[in-house]
Amino acid sequence: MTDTLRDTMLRHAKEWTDDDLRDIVTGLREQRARWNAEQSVGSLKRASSNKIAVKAKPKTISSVMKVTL
Amino acid sequence: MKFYNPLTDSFPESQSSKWDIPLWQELEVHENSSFLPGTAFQFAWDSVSMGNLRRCPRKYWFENVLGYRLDPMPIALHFGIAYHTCMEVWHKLQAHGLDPEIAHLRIIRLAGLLGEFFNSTDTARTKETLIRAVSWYIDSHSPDNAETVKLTNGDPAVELSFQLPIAEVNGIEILLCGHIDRVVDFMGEIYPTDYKTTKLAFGKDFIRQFKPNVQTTGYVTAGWILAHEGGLFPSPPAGMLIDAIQLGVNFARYQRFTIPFYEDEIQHFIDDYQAWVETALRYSELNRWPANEHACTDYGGCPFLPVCEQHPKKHEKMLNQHYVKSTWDPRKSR
Repeated sequence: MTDTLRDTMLRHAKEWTDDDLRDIVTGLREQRARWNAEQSVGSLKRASSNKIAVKAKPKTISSVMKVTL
Repeated sequence: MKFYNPLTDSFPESQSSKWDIPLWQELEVHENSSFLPGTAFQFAWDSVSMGNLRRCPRKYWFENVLGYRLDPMPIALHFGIAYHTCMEVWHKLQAHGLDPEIAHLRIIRLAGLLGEFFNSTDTARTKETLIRAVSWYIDSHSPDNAETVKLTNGDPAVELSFQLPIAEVNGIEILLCGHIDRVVDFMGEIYPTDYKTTKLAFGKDFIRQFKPNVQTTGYVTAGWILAHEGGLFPSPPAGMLIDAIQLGVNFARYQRFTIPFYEDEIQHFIDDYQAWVETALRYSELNRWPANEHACTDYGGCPFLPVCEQHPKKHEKMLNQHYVKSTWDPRKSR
């Protein structure tokens, strides 16, 4: 499972861990770099926050196991 | 949770230090100390009240004398206040000596907390766009070529409240009041600065709104007075520096504009100020605040337009039903 920058920012700010905060800053820097790159070539392409991956969460059993009864 | 302390990264329920930042503003209704007691005559003026008086005396009467405003406040204003708060705290943390990367993380949390109180469908003014605008500003202005001036007591010149005698009307001392975001040394000159967020692209129309302008001229005038009376400003300001931020749904763009001012323009502004306050005195003596119908639809429409559209007998009922009371007192320091 990969969180996007938008997913992380949508969570309550009080609950953000230091890692979350670093992920947000890193994600925003990547977004800024992408947006600057698009601007420099005269592109109107957007660098949306839901297209910036911020981290790969460790897989849990429930996320990979299909439940069968 | 009512406050956030960015120095300790904690969430106090009450304010016990200057670092406890309120996350929302309670509506405050109290006697307005900017008016002569028992009268509708204002002797301490800021750009908001002076701007309202000049735009439409009826609007000034509703908002500044009677103390009504819309609730919730317009999102452009709410977003602007939140952005100002983040920038003020950022510069103070910098001056305090907190590691810049740690300070950056704390400001991101502050922006997130403040942005969670936005109540609007404006997609360019959201929690996400506030966080981005603040974070990209920090990155794109590090190092900053505008250096915050230090006060004589060593504090950074950030969010400076001033109340300065500027004129006299009928023997009453008139005060010029305001809150300057930051005073900077920019390319060897001193400037008061103000953050301005907009959804518009930066062009001639954007820049032209800052001169003539009652706020920018007022801040430069304050700077001149403070420089000549000794103290805060090391030299008279060369003008005003606008730290502009264009907000998009997926981006933020920054540009700085210097607006030059000259000494004779300052005196001209003071003379105009006195004339306007004399006009306000006249209105208060007549107890008549005429509407300026030419301004009703400016800037997307006056917030009191629905009131003025009604028969005057219905004004009071409309105000009480659709607006809240909140005292705007220019003498109150932030």
